[in-house]
Amino acid sequence: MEIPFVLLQTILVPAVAAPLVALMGKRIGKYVGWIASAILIYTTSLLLIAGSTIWTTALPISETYTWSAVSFTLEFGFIADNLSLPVALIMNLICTAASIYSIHYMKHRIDELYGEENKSMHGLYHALYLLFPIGLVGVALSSNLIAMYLFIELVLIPSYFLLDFFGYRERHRVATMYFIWNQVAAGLFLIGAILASTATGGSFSINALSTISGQPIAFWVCLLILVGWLIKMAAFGLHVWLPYAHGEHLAHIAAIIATIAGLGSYVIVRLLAVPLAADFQVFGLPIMVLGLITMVYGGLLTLAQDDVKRLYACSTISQTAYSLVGIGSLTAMGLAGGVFYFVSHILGKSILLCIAGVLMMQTGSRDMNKMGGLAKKMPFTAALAILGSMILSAIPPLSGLQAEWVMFVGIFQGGTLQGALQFAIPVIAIFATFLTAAYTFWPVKRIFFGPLSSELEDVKEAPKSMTLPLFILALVSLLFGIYPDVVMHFLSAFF
Amino acid sequence: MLTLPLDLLFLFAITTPLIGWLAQKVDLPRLSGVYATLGILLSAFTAFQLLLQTLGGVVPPTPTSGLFNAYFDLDIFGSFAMVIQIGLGIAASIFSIQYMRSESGSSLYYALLIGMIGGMVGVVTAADLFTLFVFWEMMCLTSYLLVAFKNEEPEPVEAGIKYLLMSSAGSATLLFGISLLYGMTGTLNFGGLATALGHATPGPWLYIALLFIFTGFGVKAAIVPLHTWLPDAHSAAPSPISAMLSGIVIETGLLAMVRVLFTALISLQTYWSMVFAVLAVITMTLGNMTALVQDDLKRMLAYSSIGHIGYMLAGLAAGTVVGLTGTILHILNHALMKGTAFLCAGAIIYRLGSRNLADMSGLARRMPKIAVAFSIAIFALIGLPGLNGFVSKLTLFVSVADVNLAWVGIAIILNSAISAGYYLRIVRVMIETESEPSENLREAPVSMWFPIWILAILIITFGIWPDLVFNIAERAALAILSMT
Repeated sequence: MEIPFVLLQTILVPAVAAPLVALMGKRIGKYVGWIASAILIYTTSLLLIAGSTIWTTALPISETYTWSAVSFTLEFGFIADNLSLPVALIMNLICTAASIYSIHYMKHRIDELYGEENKSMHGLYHALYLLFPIGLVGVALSSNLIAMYLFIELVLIPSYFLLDFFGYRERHRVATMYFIWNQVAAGLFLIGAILASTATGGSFSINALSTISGQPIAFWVCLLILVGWLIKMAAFGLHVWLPYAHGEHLAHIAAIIATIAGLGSYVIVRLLAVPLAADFQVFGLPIMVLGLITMVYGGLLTLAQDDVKRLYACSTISQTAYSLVGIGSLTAMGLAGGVFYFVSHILGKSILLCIAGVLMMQTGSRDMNKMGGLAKKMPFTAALAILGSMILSAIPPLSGLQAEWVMFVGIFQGGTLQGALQFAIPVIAIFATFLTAAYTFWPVKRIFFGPLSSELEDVKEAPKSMTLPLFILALVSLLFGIYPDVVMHFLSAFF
Repeated sequence: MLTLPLDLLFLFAITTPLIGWLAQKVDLPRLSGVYATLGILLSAFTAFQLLLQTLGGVVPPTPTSGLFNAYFDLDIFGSFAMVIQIGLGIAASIFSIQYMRSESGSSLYYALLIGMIGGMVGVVTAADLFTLFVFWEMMCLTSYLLVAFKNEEPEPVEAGIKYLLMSSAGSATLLFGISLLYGMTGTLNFGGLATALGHATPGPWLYIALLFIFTGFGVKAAIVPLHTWLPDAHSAAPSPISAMLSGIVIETGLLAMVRVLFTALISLQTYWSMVFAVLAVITMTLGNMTALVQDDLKRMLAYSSIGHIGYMLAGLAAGTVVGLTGTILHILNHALMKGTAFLCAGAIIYRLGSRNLADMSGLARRMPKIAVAFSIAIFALIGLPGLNGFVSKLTLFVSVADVNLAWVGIAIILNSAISAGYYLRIVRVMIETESEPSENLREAPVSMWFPIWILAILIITFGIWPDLVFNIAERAALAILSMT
């Protein structure tokens, strides 16, 4: 099936709809969320159709629109190929699920903050929310560094405003901190991108990146883009902002922030590990070591949390680093595994962060010490929490295991070729993954099992509109777990 | 007879006080403002016609007889700058109709405003340094008076005097530099200077002339360390005047400097481009760092203007077509962004009566039109892509990276990130939800938000379709480079 401007539509339709959603919100209040979600369902199906075309023809779809052509060429180029399409599709799916989830969740939060009569806040929220899928899908599909920078920055705007308007506790201070950290990260990325363009003769195209391979400037391009994204991925030493931003953000927005963090693994593969493979070689081992440190540090940090939202926030630090270890191996399987793991992790993490939101909404508390025995009251929620934990701890038949499998095969392939240290890292990393099982299942036990405290007698199950979208995410993960070929068909064709 | 836009400006500058006197008789306090605005609009229309002519390759006829024979030269650079100057003048003038309504002697205010615009137009279209200097003084004198216009309060008067002292010292230095150039070449015409000095080996006097001319223009352009008058003057002036000062008057200092640098002083380019690279980084860093600690909204915006002057200097340091294009484009974009920001600040101060940022909390609920436009301007000032500030900053960065001054470019981007710290504080204060906004706040009158929104829409338009103005900026840069 041929759809005209299929990639442009996925970006432009939500962008055009956003102001309309804001205006409609003034009249119809929370119901505007269904309109926003319908738009996202439409873009998800567009990406699905694009995916089926790529699956059958094995040819990438690309579209180019010129933005400015005076002193240098600025283009909006989109490319959906075997690498970018699965990433874009899964991220858009998560945004769609979170959008449906948020209709009820935001009703609760807006009533709490601004009073029940306030309708315009619903419009504002859903309009800002629509910028997330535009930015995320835009970063994945960009075939041009400046367009990619634009979409990276675009994501910052809703993150900042939604945190400032609807976040928890110290939201104003955290919003500014979040903005500045990410602005610096994006700035480093931009410096790298422009340095690359001066060496390619003014072209910002990602395809042209490989022409600078081997030049001394390629090292600096790699370093700047890498450090920029390591900030966004909250690698050890650069992770300060993440627990705050996750902790104070709305639950499902925290899931989106985790997606942005994970997106770093895609960008590093797309821009550095493949086109600049030779120059990126020197970063392989440092990235693996950094990834390993972050994994262990993040894991230990997670075990120490009592706050249910900070818990999953800290676990993002650890889980994002898994992909780093995979990418650091620089083997085809390692890179593919790194991206696969990112996709699998955000599915699981979105479920868990949204569950944290459900718990906060239904019990009014974030402290796990005050919870317990909730499985009797909220069986669906408990089941989802267990499924989410299974994805993260790589328990079959969900996608986590398949992703880790591919990734560790790649890492060991690299290790056996390269040397003892490269071999030792994955061995330690595998042991580090055992931490995951501890920090995901132990909280599940603390929250959902054991005796029910008397204060929690009146807790009710969350509404279907919140749990069903999460079940769909779990089903997708199950599909990838049973038929990993759905993802690997794309990824192995790319590498 | 000068050029048509200038003639119109002079005509209206002289007749506005008469209309003001009439307006007092018939008790229509807004009449002189409306009349002045019409005059500026008319002049803008003719300026735009001239720009279209120069873009079409026609050299518009300049005066051929009389005292000012052939001392004007209309190229794309001059006519583009002229359109920016008069265009921002329209917005400031419409805004003033309501803002200056209660001031006594408002017709004098409009006469001075038109005079200041006329001075700037003369500076950018002058064909020789003498004409340039005459109009330069006209721009300076009117701007001192406008800064100190509310002469019943001590603060504007003090700021005005400080501005007067520093700027007239600058003008004297400039005149001295010009006289040195005349002594060396016997001509003040830009073309003549370029032929006489353009390809010669620079002598010691040329270095001294450069120093004097740079200092003279640098005071006006508020290049660090000559910037100390700016925060006082820009915050004490009436807000529409602050918009003019920050938006285009200080940039006119740069535009005038560009003319001299690329003609008479072109042989020293390797020398001054290095000086500019260093000064660009110092200026942008100091401007942004100081802005971080301000609590007075207008002072904060004033310091941010110093930061932006630093970005523009980077393009001059590069000295290439791309660099000059970036500088000219950023001058246009900054005029739109800072014009919007200062006019929004003016609208807020008009309702609130305070410049303190802390008093403005939660105003987005009471003045949504102003708050949204202000936020657009702020995001453009930070340099978020999709708005106009991004395109010109990117051009500036590319230009310095091309000539191996990448460290200047890195400073631009890091400064943009730092500047987000104080710009966002404004947004955060406006959208704050905890405290009840001040009683005095309600939506600004239409004659205030209308010009603001025109500017804001241009910010978005030039952000999404940069090529609308990018082409013209590039041709303006080529016009400058072809003068030698």
